[in-house]
Amino acid sequence: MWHGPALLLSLTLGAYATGVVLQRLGRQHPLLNPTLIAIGIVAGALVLFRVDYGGYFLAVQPIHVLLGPAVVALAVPLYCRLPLLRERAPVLAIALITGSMTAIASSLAAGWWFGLSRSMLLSLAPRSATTAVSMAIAGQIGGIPAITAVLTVVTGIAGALIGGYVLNAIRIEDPAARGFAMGLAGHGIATARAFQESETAGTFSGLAMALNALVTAMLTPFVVRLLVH
Amino acid sequence: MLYAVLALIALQCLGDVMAAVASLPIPGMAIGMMLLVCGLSIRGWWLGSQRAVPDVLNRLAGSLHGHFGLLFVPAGVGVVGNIDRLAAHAFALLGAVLLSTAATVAVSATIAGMRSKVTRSADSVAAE
Repeated sequence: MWHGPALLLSLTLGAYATGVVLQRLGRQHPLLNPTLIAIGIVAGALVLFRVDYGGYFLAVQPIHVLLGPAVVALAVPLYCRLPLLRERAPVLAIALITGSMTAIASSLAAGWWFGLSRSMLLSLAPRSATTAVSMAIAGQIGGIPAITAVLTVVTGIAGALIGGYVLNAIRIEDPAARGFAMGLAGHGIATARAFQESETAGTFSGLAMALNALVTAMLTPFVVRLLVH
Repeated sequence: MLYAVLALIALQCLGDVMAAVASLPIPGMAIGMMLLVCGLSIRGWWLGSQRAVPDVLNRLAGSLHGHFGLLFVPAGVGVVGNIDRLAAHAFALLGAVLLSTAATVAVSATIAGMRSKVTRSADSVAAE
């Protein structure tokens, strides 16, 4: 019974719902991230009741397999926002590619400077892309997807929390540029924060998030091959 | 709705196949996303209205994205097996994430905020 899908699915959904409620109570603060809270609750329950991870993962596949279609469906908001690209296309294209490379390379550089192991570096590298994609990239380049998942969510929170301060420090006021940078660096979680700034910032943030998922997927293997032995 | 779900999964499969055939280390879901953008663009051009996303697809996307965070939980819980490594390197990982995220925001915003002199003077001519 402890491995039963119904129970484990309920646990997962209930944990996430708890996280949503907590964040709502905390006035949508980025640190009260429902995903992290849910991971904590479920992980705690698994350890407490001695349920092995393999059995759990098998039981909750119905949730996990939705990741793929959900990422494919990012095409919908991206397509709707394509007209926004038209005017600024060249500048945004350069910002996208440079920003994505900066994310990957600076992750590796900072991680190396802090003395992290190879598998940790590989888990860090794709973390600016939305979690589903970053986990898949990590799996392909030899990182640890579960660690990448947590690091990616932390990255999103970091982008949401410090993004505004960094942008103010370098005096970038243009809402489109601010939004674009936040979505590129901190994907969905930072996009939610960008929407709190303005509709324009949020929209450009969503645009950057979807585009960066693809660009990070394309660039990470090459940057890693260049910089990591 | 069934066809919308089928379309999303099929595009992911197609993306996986394309990645495998071309030996690209890119997740099929990302390729599938680009295929769908192309598909919507072609459809929009064919129907003559730029932004007509099929309503059922719109609603499905909204449902999936409304609770995106839930979908990462099963894989994220896998961290249980790695909790010792995460704890041991927590400071280093957090430091790397913060530094790198700050750098990425700064670089992206600086470039994204640039406007060519051509656009700026065209704007001011139009304003007169």
